[in-house]
Parts: sequence; C-alpha cells; structure tokens
Amino acid sequence: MTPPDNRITGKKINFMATCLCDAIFADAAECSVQILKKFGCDIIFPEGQTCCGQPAFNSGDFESARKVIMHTIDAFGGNDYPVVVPSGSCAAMLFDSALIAFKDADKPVFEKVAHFARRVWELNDFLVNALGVEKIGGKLKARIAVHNSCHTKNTGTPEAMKKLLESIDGVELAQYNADGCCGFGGTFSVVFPQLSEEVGIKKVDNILACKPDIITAADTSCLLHQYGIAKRRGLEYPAKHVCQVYVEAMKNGGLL
Amino acid sequence: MSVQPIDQFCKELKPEIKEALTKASIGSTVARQQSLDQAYPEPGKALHLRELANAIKSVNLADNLEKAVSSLERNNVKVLFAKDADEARKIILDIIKKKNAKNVVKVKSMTTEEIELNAFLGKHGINAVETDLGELIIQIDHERPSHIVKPAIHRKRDDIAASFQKHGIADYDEEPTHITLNARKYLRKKYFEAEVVISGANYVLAKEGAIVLATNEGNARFSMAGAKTHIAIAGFEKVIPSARELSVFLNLLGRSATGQHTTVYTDFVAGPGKAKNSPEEMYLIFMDNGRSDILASRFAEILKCLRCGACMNRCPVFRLVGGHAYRAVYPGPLGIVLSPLLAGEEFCKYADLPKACSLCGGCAEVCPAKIPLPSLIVQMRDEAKRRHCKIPNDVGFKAWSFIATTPRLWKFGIPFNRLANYLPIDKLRFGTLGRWLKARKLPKFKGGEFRKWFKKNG
Repeated sequence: MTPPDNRITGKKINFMATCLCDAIFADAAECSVQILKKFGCDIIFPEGQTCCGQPAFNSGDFESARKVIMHTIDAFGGNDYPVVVPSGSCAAMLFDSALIAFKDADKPVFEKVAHFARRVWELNDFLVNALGVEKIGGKLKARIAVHNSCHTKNTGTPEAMKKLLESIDGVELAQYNADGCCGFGGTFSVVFPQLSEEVGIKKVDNILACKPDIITAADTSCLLHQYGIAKRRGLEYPAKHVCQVYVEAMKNGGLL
Repeated sequence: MSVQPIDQFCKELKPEIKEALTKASIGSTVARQQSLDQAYPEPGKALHLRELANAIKSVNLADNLEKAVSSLERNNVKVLFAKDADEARKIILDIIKKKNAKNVVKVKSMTTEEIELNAFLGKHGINAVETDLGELIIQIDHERPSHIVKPAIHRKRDDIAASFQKHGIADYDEEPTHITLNARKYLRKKYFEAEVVISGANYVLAKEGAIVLATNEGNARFSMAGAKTHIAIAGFEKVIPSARELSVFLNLLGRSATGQHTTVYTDFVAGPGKAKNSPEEMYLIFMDNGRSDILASRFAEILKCLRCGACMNRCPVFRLVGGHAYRAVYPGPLGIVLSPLLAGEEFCKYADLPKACSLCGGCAEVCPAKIPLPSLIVQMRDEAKRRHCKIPNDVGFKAWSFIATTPRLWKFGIPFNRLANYLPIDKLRFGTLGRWLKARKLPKFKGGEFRKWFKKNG
C-alpha cells in the first residue's frame, strides 16, 4: 500500500469515522477527534459518510465497491480538505485500492478517484507527516505491544505511531516478532473461518507472550479480531485503539 | 453448508504436518532476510535490486524471444514451440521415440509438472526418474510437489526412510545424511542408464543462446554426463536479454528461495557438444500453455515470477496448509494467481484459490521480482466475478452496497445494532455468523454513539 505523492494537507480537515467506529468502537473515534483537536485541527464530520468500500473490494465485488467508494468521495465532496481516518486499512482502501477498482474507468472518473486519494490520511501518518507533530507527551506507565496492521505496510503509519508512543513518559514498547497477519482479512475470516482462526491464535499467543498491559494498533478491525479470538479462549486482551492510549496519556499528564 | 476446500483441508490436516510446514516456511523466510541483509546492508539496496529484476522482466519479451531463437540455433540447439501442454508432451514423446530411448532422467522442472509429463511418459512405457532428492521422494509415492522449491516440504524423515524401504531403494534408515546417500547410490545407476535428460530452464539468455540451470545437488550435471540427448522445456517468459542481466537474478534467486547467496550449482548450457561427455543433441521447447493470454491481460506481471517460493514461505495460509491444499501445480500466492489463469477454459474450477488470502501483503514484501501480488490476487477475485464462477461460501455485497450508499438508511439503521447486546447472539452456532462466533467473541455494539457524541463535543 503506497500513499500517493503531493498529498493535500492543512489543519482544516474532515474526519471519517469508519463503519466499525460507527457501529462498535465509538470510543476510538471520540479519542481520535480529541487528539486531532488538541493538535489544532478544525474538524468537519460529513453526515453522509458510511464505509470506505473495503469489504466488497477485498471480496472482488468491484462493482459494489465502486459504488461505495464513489458515495464516499461525494460524501466528502463539500470541500477539498484532507480526510483523516483512524484506520490504516480504510485509509489504504481509499488512497491505494480505490485506484485498482477504478483502473478501467473513464479518465475524468479515474482522476476524481486519484484526486480524492491525495486527500486521505491515516491519523498517525497525518499527525506526524502532515502536521509535523513531534510528541504526544503526557504519561502512562504501561508495557505496550504494538500491532502494525498489514495495510499500513509501506506507509508512514508504523514509524509515526512508534514515534508518538515513545514520546509518552512511562511507555515501554514490547519487542516481539511483529511479523504477521492476525488472520482477520475482513471477509476472509468469514469465508475461511478455520484458517483465519488458526492464524489468529498464533498472533494472539505471540502478542500475549510478551505480557503487555495494552495491545494497540491504528486499526480497530485487527484489534476486533484479536480480542474476539482471545476472549473466546478465555484470555484477557486489553486492546485499545492508539488514540485511546494517547488520550489516556495526555489526561494523566494534565494536557487534555 | 458449502465450505471452502482449502479451509476444509486445513481442518483435516494432521497437526504434525502443519507444524513441519510452518517451521520450514518460517525458517526460509528468516534465512532469506538474513542473507539479503548480509549481502546488502545499505538501506534500499536490496529493494533496488528487486526493482531492477522487475524492470528487466518488463523488457519486450517478443524481441528477446526472437533473438533467443536465432542465438540458440546458432549454437545448434533445435528450438521448438508448443502452444499447449498436449503439444509439449507430444513433441517430447516424439523425440524420445526417435531415439528409441526407454530411460529418462529428469532435472527438477515445474514446467514438466505443469504438463504432468511423468505420468504421460509412464503411460507410453518410458521410465522417467526424478534426480532432485525432494522430487524423487514424492515421485516414488506418486505425490505432487507441495512446494515449488522444496517439493517434499510436507514429508518427515521417518516416513521417507520407510518409503525408500518400501520401494526397494534402501533399507530403513532415517538419518538424513544416509537418506541422501541412499538416494545418491540409487541415482548413480539411473544416470548411466539414461539415454535422454529432460530439464527445465531457470533462464534463457537471448544474446548468448544458452539456458541456465540452478540446482543444489549437481543433478543437472550428472544427468548431462550420461544422456546423449537433452530436452529442455521452458515457458517463453524465462527469456532474459543477456548474461549481463543474469547477475541480478542469480543474486536474488538463492537468497529469496533458501537464504543461500547462490545455489550450489549454476549450469550454463549453450548447445550440445560443448563439453566432454555431454549430450550430442539439444532441444529447447518454448511453451505457451496460456501464457500469451496472460501476457495480454491485466495479470501480465505474474509472468515475471522467478519460481523462488519466497511468497509461499511468507504466506500465513500456505504455512498452515502446504501446497497440496491448492489442488494445482503452483501453490501459495504465486499459484492462486497463476493456476486459475493457466487452467484457461477451466478457470472457474480454481476460482476459489484467490480467495485463500487475507491480503496481508507479506508476499509482495519478499517477492524478488516485486510482483504486486495482493493487487493481482484481489483482481483475480474480480475476474472470477466477471466470469460468473460459483465459489463456495462466498459473501454477497449487493444489499450492503445499497445500504452503504443510502446514508439515511445507514444512519437510521446503525443505532439498532445495540439491540444485539441484549440478544443471545454470542451463543449462535449455525450459519456464517455462528461459525465465526464459535472461535470469536464480539465486543459491545455502540451503534450511532459516536455521531451523537460528535454533535455535542465535535
């Protein structure tokens, strides 16, 4: 997943909550907004937004995916400000995969999609590489295992997230073999429940072996899967979206 | 309820085989990384080399093929073309018959697996013996390779020793070095008996008119020493411009496959009669078998594959199921793109394969030719839709896309998911959701809460 060149930046932004935050992880979206505001962003939330189209795209239903992508582009069409997403995979869907879905489209349509791609940012990448944020600060005494979601490969997200987490007083990042998918893959976990479960168990065991106080990621979807697998096996799994970690640290430090 | 064949395979596969597969695959992935880091400590250097490999493979194939044919003919190699597997088999059989040959030795070749050559030759009374140890192990038990580089990756030494005993190759001895020695003794006789050697070609050098064979066991050289006739068969995409570009591939192939800086033997065969005790006659068959169609499609990049196996070593799905799960010659990320395409008219028979992928992108990170595998895989799923293939346990998105493009419906509907918090859905064990929940718990639904919060605090 490679973000496009000449990305659009600025402090006036749109927030895209993602369908998972809309349906389940309201806290992650709330913390994301708090963090963005703290760093000076003026946030617009277009009410027409729904989903990035990834479930259909990943399943190869490009026709349905194109409809949803186009809906998303139109939902954010009221302005030309950046679109900040608290999810690496939804962001990558819109700045990378969307271009594959529209590969054969007419030129003006493709260009519309390509232009929108330049507006889309994963939140950590945006904070560090668009706004130049150097630190979160605050304090949080915790051993944290970071899961770098597969769709943030080759993007600014993993480095940005590491930098921001390390800027928190008291945070210790657990070193473990982070090489590997959690087996979710959206509909993959539905179509291949057995394979997905076995990959997931390996991932969860791998993470829990380093005894973290918190497991964090820039994607709620991976955390949903890991949490679900661990819980079903009777294991505690303190998973939090990275913005929840930031908010907690800043509150502890009296910064928020 | 219909189940995905690969998922079912995973369910039924013995845990010890799974463990062996995972261990061997992870081992190769780690070795690959270490060997590249060691050779190219400068950041970005290995990536640059991979980009170069991709670029070289982008060079006009038709031009190179034409050059290759004239250089090969200059070197007295008889060049033939086979449009499909049928034709390739017929050409090979004709040559063998003309030589009145009965005994053939084979140098490991995925192309001959692709055309199921051994079984075909067997039917015509020709005894073809695999000389690569892994290939020999699976050949005697009539198995298919479970990995393109390590064909017997799914086998354990005790059952290999038992199998050697059963087939009269050697007495039971599970010590790995003894297994190798026993195979070696057995194969020596075969090299002397063979009238014909059949090989693939890792590369065909257009300028020099030579083929390049990379092996670890020296079996290509041994095979050439005995036989009088050499038949090589290769997909036409194996042509590269010249020996100058070859260095890029040789630097990547061994490292990507097994973490070796180079394979133990690299043989250059530039026509017959060049070396003492070498075949007097050499044929090279360029096979199409669907490749022209692939080259003209949006999947052309898959033809840049070097057959190193790094993608499957890295794949979380392959690591659990191995190559046999894929029901086709080429497994793993490479195979789930290539196999349905090579099947031509029977595309839909293999249309479930590209589904067996979580799109984690690991394969693209390790591919020495920088093939954008996840992008090809997801486009293969689209291809299956376009061809109206029926795929077991597939999920439909028509209703979902309607809701997701109708914001009023979406906003109205989402808060209702909170009702699910009061229903015993966690106990559900039937249907798609039930199967999912068997191994996973869902967190609490909070539909619409964020939107409400944002109105107040945003």
